[in-house]
Amino acid sequence: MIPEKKNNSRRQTFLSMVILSILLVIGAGIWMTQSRFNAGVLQKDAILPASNKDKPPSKLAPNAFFAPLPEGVQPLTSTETFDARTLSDKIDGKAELYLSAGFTRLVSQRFKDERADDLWLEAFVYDMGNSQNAFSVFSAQRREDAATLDLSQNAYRTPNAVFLTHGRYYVEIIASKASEKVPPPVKIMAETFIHNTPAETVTLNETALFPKQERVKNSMVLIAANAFGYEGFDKIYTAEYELNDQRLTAYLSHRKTNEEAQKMASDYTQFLLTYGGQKIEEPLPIKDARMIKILDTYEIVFFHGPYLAGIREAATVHLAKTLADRLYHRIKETDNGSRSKP
Amino acid sequence: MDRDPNHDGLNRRQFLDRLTKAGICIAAAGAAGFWFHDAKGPVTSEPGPSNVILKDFSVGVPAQKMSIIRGKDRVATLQTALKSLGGIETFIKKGDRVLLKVNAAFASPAMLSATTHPAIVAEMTRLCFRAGAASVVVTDNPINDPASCFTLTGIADAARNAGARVVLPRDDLFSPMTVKGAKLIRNWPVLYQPFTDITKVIGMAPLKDHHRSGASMTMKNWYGLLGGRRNIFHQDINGIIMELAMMVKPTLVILDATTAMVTNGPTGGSLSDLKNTDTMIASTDQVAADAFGASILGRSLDKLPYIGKAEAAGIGTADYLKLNPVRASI
Amino acid sequence: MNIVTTRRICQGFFFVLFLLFCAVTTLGGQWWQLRGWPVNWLIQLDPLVGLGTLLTTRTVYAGLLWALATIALTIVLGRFFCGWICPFGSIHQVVGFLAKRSRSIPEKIKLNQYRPGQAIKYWILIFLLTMSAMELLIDLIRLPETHGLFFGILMLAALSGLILKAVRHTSANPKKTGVVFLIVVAVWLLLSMVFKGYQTSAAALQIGLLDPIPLVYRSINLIILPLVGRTSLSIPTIPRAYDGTFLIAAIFLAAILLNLAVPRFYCRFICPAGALFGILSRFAIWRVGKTKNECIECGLCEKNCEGACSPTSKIRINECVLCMNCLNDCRHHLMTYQITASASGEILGPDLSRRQFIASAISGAAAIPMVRISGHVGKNWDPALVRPPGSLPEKAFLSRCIKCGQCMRICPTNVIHPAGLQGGLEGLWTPVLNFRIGTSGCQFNCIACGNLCPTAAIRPITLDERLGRNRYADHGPIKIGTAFVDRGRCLARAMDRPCIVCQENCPVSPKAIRTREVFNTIDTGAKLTVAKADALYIEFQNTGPGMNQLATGDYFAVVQPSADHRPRRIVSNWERGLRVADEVPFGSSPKPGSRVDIQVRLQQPHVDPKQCIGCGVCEHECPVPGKRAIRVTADNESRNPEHALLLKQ
Repeated sequence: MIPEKKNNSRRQTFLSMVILSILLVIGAGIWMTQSRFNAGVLQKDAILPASNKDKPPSKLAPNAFFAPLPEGVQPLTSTETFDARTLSDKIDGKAELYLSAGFTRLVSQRFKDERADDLWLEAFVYDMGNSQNAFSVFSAQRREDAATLDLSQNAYRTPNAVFLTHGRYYVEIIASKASEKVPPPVKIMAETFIHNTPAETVTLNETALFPKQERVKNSMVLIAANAFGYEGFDKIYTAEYELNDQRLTAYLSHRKTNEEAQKMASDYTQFLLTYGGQKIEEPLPIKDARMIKILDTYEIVFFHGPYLAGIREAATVHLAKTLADRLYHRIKETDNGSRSKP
Repeated sequence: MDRDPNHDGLNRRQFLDRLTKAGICIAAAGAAGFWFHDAKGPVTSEPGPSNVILKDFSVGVPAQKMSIIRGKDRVATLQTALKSLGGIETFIKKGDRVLLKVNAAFASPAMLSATTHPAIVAEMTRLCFRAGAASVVVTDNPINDPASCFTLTGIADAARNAGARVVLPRDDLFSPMTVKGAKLIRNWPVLYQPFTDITKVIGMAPLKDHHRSGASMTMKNWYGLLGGRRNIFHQDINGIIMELAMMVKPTLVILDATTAMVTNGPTGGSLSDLKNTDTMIASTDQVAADAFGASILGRSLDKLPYIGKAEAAGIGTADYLKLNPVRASI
Repeated sequence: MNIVTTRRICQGFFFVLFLLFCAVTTLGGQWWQLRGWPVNWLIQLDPLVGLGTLLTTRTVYAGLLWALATIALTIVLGRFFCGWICPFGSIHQVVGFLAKRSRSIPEKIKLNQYRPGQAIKYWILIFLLTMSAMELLIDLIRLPETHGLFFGILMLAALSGLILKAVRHTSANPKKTGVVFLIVVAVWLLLSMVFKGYQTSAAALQIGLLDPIPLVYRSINLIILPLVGRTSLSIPTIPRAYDGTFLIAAIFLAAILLNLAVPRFYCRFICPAGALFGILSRFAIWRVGKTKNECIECGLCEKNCEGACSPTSKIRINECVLCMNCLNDCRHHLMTYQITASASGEILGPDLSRRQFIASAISGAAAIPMVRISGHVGKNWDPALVRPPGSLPEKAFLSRCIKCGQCMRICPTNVIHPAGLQGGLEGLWTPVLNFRIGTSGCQFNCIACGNLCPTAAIRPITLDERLGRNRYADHGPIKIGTAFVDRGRCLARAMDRPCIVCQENCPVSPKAIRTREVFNTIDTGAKLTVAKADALYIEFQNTGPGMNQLATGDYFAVVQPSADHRPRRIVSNWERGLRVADEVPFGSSPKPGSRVDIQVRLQQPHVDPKQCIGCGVCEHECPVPGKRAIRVTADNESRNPEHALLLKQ
């Protein structure tokens, strides 16, 4: 009896372990699939410039963005409004960045904190037309000494300022002096702004396409136009990677049609060749990809479905290939995943 | 189904037996699963243009012919009209299988002229057989109940007594058809089956006023070949009539204007809607027939845009005088 | 580790997974929303869904291939799904356990006795599968007509087989077999001629009614989660409502409460998936059973037997759900999970007599043709049946919908609801749109439902196809119906009240609702006559409407008689007079004694059916709260050309 029982119990334990490990595998499998968004979700979160056009422009008066002001904060000046023509009057050369990214209106105002003597603030509210454009100017100007904030989907601070995007607005609140933490009035004003201008959290699905492995934190930028000096390149997302202590950049862009992505890839390749690039004959595991050596760095240009993508500023062929491979697979599985089972 | 496993020796055999059967089941299930696997799911693609088309039934006489015969007796005028075109033998040869497309749209008595008159249906059938036709089929897709229509109009009896076969429309006799170059008749159910072994087609229509299209004559007669919810085409009535004329190239059309319905068409309903215009038209060109019919109704051609559209599409000519119609009175 | 503990962990794991899947099924990219969670996985694992759709559509759609895994494992292991995975089964098991706790051991054993009624679930399975297989069966009957040559070869092969058997003297009564064979062939030929022209599809997928996985998804999605949503536990801000759910809730509750009478009532008596598993486990390699024939028949193994499979005597393999409770309950260590048959014998199949089989089969075969005589999939279709965009044409739809309620759950505006009888009896609990409930009408840019439907009854569409862009520009946008203005209820048309909320909210561009400007003279209660007036002011001889009642910007004054009948906008009024806007002064001052007509400016809506996609936002927003003054019906829906309203240009 007893030896049988022991034998039986050993068998049961063995089986239990097998079954429990299968459950773990199932759990892991489910966890892995959850990052491949369902097509319905992708559509909901995708930024459609057209659909945002339908959203009526915020009926908020310019001085209502930060109303009610935090205790002790009073306006120093009245609000100033600038449109595309007059933007450079306010921010001079920087206007170019905004204008090429869909800028529509800037409202700026100065405030004073009565309680803190030398603290005054200037707030800039840029209406960029849609969230993608807002992200573009946000990411393009990200400061070196930035610390990410939790205020909104995209927000960071530097010692004397807070920068954030909210829906189609890009907001800068700049204080007259630096501080350890965000000064409370600035934080309150930022939160008030977010509260006054409801916008949905937006997932830029392109950002989900950059492989996470070895990506440099907070390095994603959306270049609205003329990326890499090439006139045809607009709405390009870039991210920095550090492989083997070497930095290189990956980029991708969601074009309207598959044909457009393909054409852009070959046009850009031509552009590189015209400006001194040399084609490198290197077997690449990516269909129709091309490798170019230019200015001592390696570039790979490829496309898949409606996505145009590539690698640049890679120091060696091997680095470029590794990262290109990862990026390609990520794009491929998201593109296919959006069409198959949920 | 029970197993009494008192014999241990049997266990091994049973086990192998079960193992094999289980293996076969899994293999069969797997094969079925992968064979029928459809990763993409149903796609509603528009079905490609269907393959059925109606043949060209025209006889290809050297030139288009038309005859206009005046007389009170429609059977006599019909005979004369055909003789004037060279006789029925010009069109119907020995062994031909003929289809007569009549207008049986309404369950209306023959005297109200809303439908093709049974006398000329019988006469045409008789003439076809005399010319050596192997069979004659009479058909239409009426608006009212088909059986009642063919019976109450008298067409069924007349046809059968003359030896023709009446084909009543049924769902399985329709096939989706696309007319080449057409915008409206695309994958639309058409009464196709009766045409499959036919060699000659003769359209026989009464001359009627029509509130929507202006007039209902030989080209509009082919509306009776459409199935489905065809009334939707009234939203572009001239377009559909033109496409019907593109769809059917008949051997001959007969336009019976003996007692034309000059008002309250297409149903009429009263003898006072009729006028004794005493004319019978036979033609190989349906556009020309309709153009002449318009003149009997006293309608100018610009009130009947479909005639101009059909002419522009190359189906025939509206200038019927160019055909040198044979005219006679009896 | 005890195998029973593992089983409980496994049941718990899948139950929590199931609840997780239900909870996250909302549209969005956050971790607690849909993202890419495989929320349909449990439905895909259910082989009854896969088999049912295979029979009705002759395809196994996408992820339904997972059913192969379940089938393969069931063939090898037995009814593991029922005992280890099925979340509905877990609920029943827990409730049954709680109900049994206070009972004595003999009572528990009695509760778990095998009952002949356990064969009912096989009848239900046969009924449902025959219903699904009808189209295939009719194709089979028509074989002589459609594939005459193949039929001939088949019959010849059968004949040769029979002759061979007769020659070898292996068949019992060759003459009788021959006669039977001839009769079969003759009847087959006869039937094939009778069914030659058979047009209507005789099959529909109704497994969703009783299949436990769609049932439990439906119950949680449409009953439990909305109830939870009304408490502070909820995630969405507006609690969801679903029309037509009483029956769903009643069945769910009944199934659970029946466990108080008999544990696992549903599993034992009703569940068709369990029946399917029972049939599949016939050749199981491993089975529960006794190791030796030394049993004293104390019956303790049946104390907690979940499947009521009588392990004491001849164990019924097709009822055993592998709960493994008997392994530990047997005090003599006789029960185990082994590859040899149980020492005291086993029964492999259900007690199904031929009569019962035929009755179930014939009922299943006749059900759909009988139901469809009402014409509800033909000319007698119900215009209230507005289906989600991407739905297949009705017959194909009814061959795929398993009534799982996933589309209703994911719909971000809560407009999809389980149908009552709008789709006929077979359309029960299939998705239909109700624009009065929910937050807004069917969202223009949303493609969620089709991309979630596990059986593609609602096709997965791209946004381009929905909006009719790029590749689909020729087809135009997908239309689910058309809005019709009810002129007798519309504020602007029947009640002289300015409105046009419908036109404002119409999401398509150009708008599908146009307005026509109309000026109607209203009755102010008094006949107003001019006492004195100048270019901008009129004073009345009598008393007019109260202070500024006419100053909303919608009211206009016209003086009769006058050469100039232009209505002039009233900017303010008081009881004895009014003032018109500066831009429209009276050319010549109104003469005293002339009549002043007050007119209201109305913009009367009318629908352009060419643009209207039937999204229902207008119906939702219409301020007439009861029966809306603009309502959507399924006319002109893209999925059925027979319902077209307009000629396609």
